[in-house]
Amino acid sequence: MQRITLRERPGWRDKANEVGFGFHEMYGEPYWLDDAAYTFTLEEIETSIEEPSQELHDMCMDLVGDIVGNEEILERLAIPQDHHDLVRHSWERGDRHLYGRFDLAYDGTGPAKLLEYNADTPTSVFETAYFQYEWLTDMIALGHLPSNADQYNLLQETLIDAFRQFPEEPIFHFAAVTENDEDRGTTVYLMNCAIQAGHRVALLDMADIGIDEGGRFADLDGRIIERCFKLYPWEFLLREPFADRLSSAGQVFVEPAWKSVLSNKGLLPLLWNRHPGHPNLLASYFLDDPAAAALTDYVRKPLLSREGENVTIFERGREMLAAPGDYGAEGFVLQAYAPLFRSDTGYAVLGSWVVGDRACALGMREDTSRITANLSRFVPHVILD
Amino acid sequence: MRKYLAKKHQPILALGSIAASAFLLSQCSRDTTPDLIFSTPEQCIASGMDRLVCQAGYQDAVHSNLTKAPQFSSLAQCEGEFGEKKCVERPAGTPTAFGTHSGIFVPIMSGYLLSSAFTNINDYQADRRRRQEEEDNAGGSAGGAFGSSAVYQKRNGDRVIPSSMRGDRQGMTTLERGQHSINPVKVVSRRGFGTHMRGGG
Repeated sequence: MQRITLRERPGWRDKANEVGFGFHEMYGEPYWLDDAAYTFTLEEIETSIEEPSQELHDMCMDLVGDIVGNEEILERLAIPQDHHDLVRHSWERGDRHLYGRFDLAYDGTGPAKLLEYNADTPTSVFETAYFQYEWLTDMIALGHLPSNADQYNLLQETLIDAFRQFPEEPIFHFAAVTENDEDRGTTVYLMNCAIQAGHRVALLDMADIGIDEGGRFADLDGRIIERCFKLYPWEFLLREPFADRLSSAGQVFVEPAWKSVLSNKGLLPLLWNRHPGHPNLLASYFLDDPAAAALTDYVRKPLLSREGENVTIFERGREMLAAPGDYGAEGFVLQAYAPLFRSDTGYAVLGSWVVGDRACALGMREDTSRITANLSRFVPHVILD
Repeated sequence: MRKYLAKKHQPILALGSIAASAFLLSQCSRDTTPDLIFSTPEQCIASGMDRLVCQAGYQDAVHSNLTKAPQFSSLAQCEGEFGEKKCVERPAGTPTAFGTHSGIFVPIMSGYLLSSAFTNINDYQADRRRRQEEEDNAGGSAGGAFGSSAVYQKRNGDRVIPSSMRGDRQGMTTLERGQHSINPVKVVSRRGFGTHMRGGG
């Protein structure tokens, strides 16, 4: 694994804007880096990223049934008690899921380590699936990369396959915070995939989801919402004004309610407890677990934090780095510290994609901080040997 | 070499973009007043439409069904398009757009199409008069202008309405799927989700 620099593609910003990827720049900072790449060998991808990601996902799926069947654990994960049945029933019914992204620490030396599972509302899917692939083919055409350069990226075709598993009728609604460029772009990208799988689609804002007299969710045209992708996390849904409607109507959503137990940082100590010493897991404990005292270098993470908020790094028990935020009220986990890949430009985290139940792609983000946050940049990757 | 990309095709964007197009955004804007499909006047009223508009629209649709329904000379032909037991024979002497007929078969009306723009019966009747005048000025006499239209469902699921005459038979316009709500429900509350500024991560 290496970080290299290349000459950027002439006109890549126009290409980005043409396909609606206006958020290649966010908060006044570049988000997409065209003149850099992470390089891997095929063996690194296969044995250190793809196979462990598949195994981690299988381990997660193996754990869900035990979590949703245990009131005490659901309580620990801060799933509101009124919604335990919703989560349990969604798993028992086998509500279909679509996608997730593991965040992994890997620096090319030891095994990749699971940092967390964004199993509910992952973004950077368009960047990984589409724009990263176009970058590679352009770079090969320009002669900046060899013609046999490869990329671990079967994301779009796997998404289309996964969408095909959902029944075609009726309309597949897609809901997001449409004012947010990144959320809207991510959602419309997934609509593009759903259309290619044969679905009729409709976009609406989360706030425009309505309730009819029978307690069913409806769109702006008075159509009952029977299936709805939502780029909006379960921990929000379960705490908002319509939460009391979820028990009867909540099964319409993709990701399904059971994904809320995998996108929760409480997953990390539960996985460690089930598979202690697993090479791809970091020792992790709930904050009140006496065993956590054995950790010296560790990271404290809120159960429900997003984009690095309220994450704190401790070294030899002393606080070294803390990210601000509004999370933490629901509790914390402690996770052994794992160094990220480091270069002159910062720290890199691997986003390893799982669609349906298949590990299928990689997207890299880097940040100047060891805590990857909303100013992180997306960097394409390439397999060279 | 090229383990992954050897299997890959150039990904395409079905919409051409990940920008929310004008079409997609219109679904978010509440500016549109779509045409709605109702099975019965009761379902129309239940959706929150005005009671008198629902009833007048239904009566007009039934009337349009009598004169503008797609016509077939055999039951097999009609059922071929609209499905088994979905067609009836019109008695001899029934008036149609083409005079009186004998031995014609028409599909059974499955619902009616009504604009959600009508909030009261006065608007509905004004629109109906305007259509009538337009048709009179055009010299048309194809059975009168109606404020709403009968809807028929084909065996492939497509919904159609009668359109202008083509040659010696009535044409049909297929309603685009997903563009017309069918028996829309009455929404009693919105804005129960979406209090956060961002959902992805």
